[in-house]
Amino acid sequence: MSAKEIADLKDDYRTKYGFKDPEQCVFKARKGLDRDIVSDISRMKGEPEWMRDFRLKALDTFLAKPMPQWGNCPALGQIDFANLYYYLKPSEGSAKSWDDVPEYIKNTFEKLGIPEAERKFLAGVTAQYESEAVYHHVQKQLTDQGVIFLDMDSGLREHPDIVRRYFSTVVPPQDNKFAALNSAVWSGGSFIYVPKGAKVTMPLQAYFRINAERSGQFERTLIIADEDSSVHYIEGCTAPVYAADSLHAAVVELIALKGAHIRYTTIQNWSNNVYNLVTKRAQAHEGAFVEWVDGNIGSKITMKFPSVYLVGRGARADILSCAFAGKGQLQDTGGKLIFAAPNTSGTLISKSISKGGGRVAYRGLVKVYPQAKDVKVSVRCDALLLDEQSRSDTYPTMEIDGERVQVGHEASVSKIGDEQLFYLMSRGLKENDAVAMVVNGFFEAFAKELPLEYAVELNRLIQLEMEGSVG
Amino acid sequence: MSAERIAVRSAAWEEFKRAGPPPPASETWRRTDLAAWRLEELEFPGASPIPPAAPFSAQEAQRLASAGAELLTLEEAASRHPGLVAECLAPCSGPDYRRLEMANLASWRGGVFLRIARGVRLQEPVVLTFRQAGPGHFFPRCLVVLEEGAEASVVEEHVSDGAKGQVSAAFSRAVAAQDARLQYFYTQELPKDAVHFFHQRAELKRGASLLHTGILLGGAKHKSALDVELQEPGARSEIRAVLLGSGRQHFDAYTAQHHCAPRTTSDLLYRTALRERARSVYTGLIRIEGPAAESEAYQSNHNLLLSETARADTTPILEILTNAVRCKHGATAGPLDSEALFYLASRGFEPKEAARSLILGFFEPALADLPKSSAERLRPLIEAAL
Repeated sequence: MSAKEIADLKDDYRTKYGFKDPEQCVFKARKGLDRDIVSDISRMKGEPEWMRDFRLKALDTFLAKPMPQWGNCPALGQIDFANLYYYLKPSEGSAKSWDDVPEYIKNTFEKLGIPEAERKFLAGVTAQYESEAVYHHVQKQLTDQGVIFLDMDSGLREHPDIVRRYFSTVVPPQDNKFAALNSAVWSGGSFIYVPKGAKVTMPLQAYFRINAERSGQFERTLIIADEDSSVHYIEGCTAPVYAADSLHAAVVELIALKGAHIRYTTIQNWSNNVYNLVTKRAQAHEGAFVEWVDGNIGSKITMKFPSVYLVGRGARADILSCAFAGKGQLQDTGGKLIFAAPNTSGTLISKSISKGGGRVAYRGLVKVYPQAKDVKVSVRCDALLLDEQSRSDTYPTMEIDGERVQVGHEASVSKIGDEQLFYLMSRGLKENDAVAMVVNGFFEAFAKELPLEYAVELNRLIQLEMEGSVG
Repeated sequence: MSAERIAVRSAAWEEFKRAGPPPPASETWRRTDLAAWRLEELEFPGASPIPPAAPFSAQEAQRLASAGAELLTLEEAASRHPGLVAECLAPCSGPDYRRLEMANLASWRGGVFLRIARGVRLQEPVVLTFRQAGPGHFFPRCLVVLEEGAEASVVEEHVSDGAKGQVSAAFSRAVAAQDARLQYFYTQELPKDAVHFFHQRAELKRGASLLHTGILLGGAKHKSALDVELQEPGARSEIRAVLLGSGRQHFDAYTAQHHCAPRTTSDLLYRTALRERARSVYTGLIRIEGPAAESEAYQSNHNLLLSETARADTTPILEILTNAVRCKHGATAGPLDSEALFYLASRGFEPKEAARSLILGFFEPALADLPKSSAERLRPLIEAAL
C-alpha cells in the first residue's frame, strides 16, 4: 500500500465512520438518572411490571455500588453519570423491510455498509440506531427453523416467558456497577433463541451505533442455544467522532444448554471518545461449546473480559481476544474461564498491539473449583509494542483448586524483530509495508476466525491505525 | 541507647498506631489476613529493649573483620557509626507493608549490619541465624552492603526454638554497588504453627549481580515480598525459590523484578509443591520502566499439586513501558507427570519412591547453588518432608 493510500485511509475515517447526523428523535429522556427516568423508560416501552421492578432495584444497586478501584480508575472517575441521556427513541417502532426505514437513518447505514451485507444474503440483520432496533429482517429459513432473532425489546414483548426465565441469570445486576447501570436503563440489543437441534448455518449479525451526543448506549443481548443447537452471532460497532465523551455499558448473556454451540464474534471500533465498559458472560452446560472472538480497536477506554462459566460436565470454551491501542487509548481486555464441572477444558489466546503511547492490558482469570476434576486449560498472551512510548501490561490470575488439573500460561512482550524487518526488506518490501505485514501476521490467528468481510475490514482498520507508525 | 534511635522508635510507634488495617480491597492482603500477625497485642517496647543473642558468633565477626568485612548487630552499628543509623533504620517497603514495617522499626532487636569493603571477595558464606526464642513477636532487621566490586554469599536463616505461637516480621535490605556480586540465601524453617512475614529489597547498581534463592518450608502462615530493583545499566538478577507445603500451611509470596535502567536482565524460577491441604499464592511482577531499553526479563512459576485438596493461585504480571525489550513469563499448575511416573515404575521404582524422585528433581534447579553448609541441613529437611 502506497504512502498516499495510507494517508487517504486516515482521512477517509471521518467520512466513513465519523459522520454525524442531526438528531431526529421521537422521544428523548431528560438528562440524568433517577427513579422517574427509569420508570419512564419502562412505561415508554410498555413493559410488564416485573421488568420495571427489576430496573428500579438495579438502579438502587447501581447507586449503592462504588466505582471499580482497579484498572484506570481516575479515568473512569471522569464519567459524569448525571450529564448523560439514558434513553432516546429514534422513530416509531421497528421496520420490517429496508424501504420502511427513514431516509436519514438509511444514510447512516449506507455509510456503514449494511446494504452490502444484506446483498450478501447474510442470515438476518438487526441494526441498532441509538437505543432501538429500527431495521430488522430475518430470513424465512430462520423462521422456519423456529429461530427467534429479535431486538431485546420485541423479545420481551413477544416472548416474555423465555425472557423472564433466562434474563439476568448469567449477569445479575449485583455483578458490577456497570452491569447494574445497564440493568436499570437497558434498551435494545439482540434476543436470540435457537430451538433444540437447530443449526443456524449463516452467522446472525447486528450493527450498533451511538449517534446523539452524550447519549449512553446500554444494549442488552441474550442468546439461548437450546440442546444440541448451534449459532454464530456477529456484532460490529462503529460510532461517530464527537468531542463529548459517550458511555457504552452493555450486558451480553449467552446460555449454551446441553450439547449446544455458540460463537460470538465482536469487532469493536468505537470512536476514541467512548468509554466501553461491557460485561459479557456465557454459561456452558454439559457438553456445550462456547467461543468468544473479541476484537477491540476503537474507544477511549475499553474494559471488557468475556467470560465462560463451564457448569456442565465436558463443556468446552475458547476465548480469542485481540486489541489494538493507539494514542490516548486504553484497551483493558482479556477473558475469564471458570471451571465448575469435571472433564472441562478451555483455551484463551490474547494478541495485543500498542503504538503511539497507547496502552493495552491483558487481564484474565482462570479459576478451577474443587468439584471440577480433570480440567485442561491453556492461556497464551502475546503483546507487540511498536514504539517506546507505548505500554503493555499482563495481569493473569490463576486459582487452581481442583484434582488432576493441568494449567499452562505463557506470555511474551516484545517489539517487531529487527531480523524480521531486515528479511522482509531484503526481499524488496518498504519498511512501512514490512511492519504492516508483520502486524497482520501477528493478528492472523484472530483474523482467520472472522468471516471474510470482517477480516477485510479488520485488515483495513489495522492499516488505518498503522499510518505513520514508521519513520 | 542513642537519642536518635529512641526518636526513630517513638516516631515509628506513633505511625504504627495511626496506620489502620489494610482496606478490604487491598490486592496485597486479599488472600492473607494481616490479623494473623496479632499486631494489636503489641506494646511499645520502651527505650531499652534487651537485645537477644546476636544472629552470628563473635568468631564469625572476627573472621570477617580480618577479611575486610564488617559484621555488627544494628545496636553496635548505631553506636559505632552514628551516621549509619538513618540508613539502617530507613523504611524500605511500600505502603502495603507500612504497618508491619512500623511495628518492626518500633520493636526490632538484635538486627544485623554487614558491610563488605570495596573489592573484597569473601570465600566462605556469611551465615546469619535469626532464632526466635519463646512465644510472642520477633522483629529481625538486616542491612547488607557490598561496596564496589565486592563479592559475598549471605545466608539469612529463620529458625525457632520451637515455642508455640511465634509471630515474626523481618525486614531486610541489600545494596550491591557497581560490579558487586551478591549471592543471597533466605531460608524459612519455622515451626508449623508460626506466623512469619519477610520483606527484602535489593538495590543493584551498575553491572552488579544478584543470585537470590529462597527456601520456604515452615510456618502456618507465611507471607513474603522480594523487591529487586535493577537501578543502573547492566545490572543482573536471578531469583530462585523452592516452596514445599503440607498440612494446612498457607504461603503467600510476591516477587518483583523491577528494571529501571537500560541493558538490565533478570530471570526467575519459582517452584512450588503442595501436599494435603496446603495453599500457595504466588504473585510475580516484571516491570520495565520507559528508560530501561534493551532489557530482558524472564519468569517461570511451576506448581505441583500433589493432593486433591492442595490449592495454588498464581498471578504472573508484566508491566512493560518501552518496546526494545524481550520479556516472557510462564506458569503451570498440575499433578506429577503420569508418563514420567509410568516410566519410573517400568524401571522398578515403587510409586512412592518414583514420586519422591520426581519432586526432588523438580526442586533441583533452584537448589543447585546452595552453599554446602546450608545444603547439608536443608536437603534432609526437604527429603524428610516428602
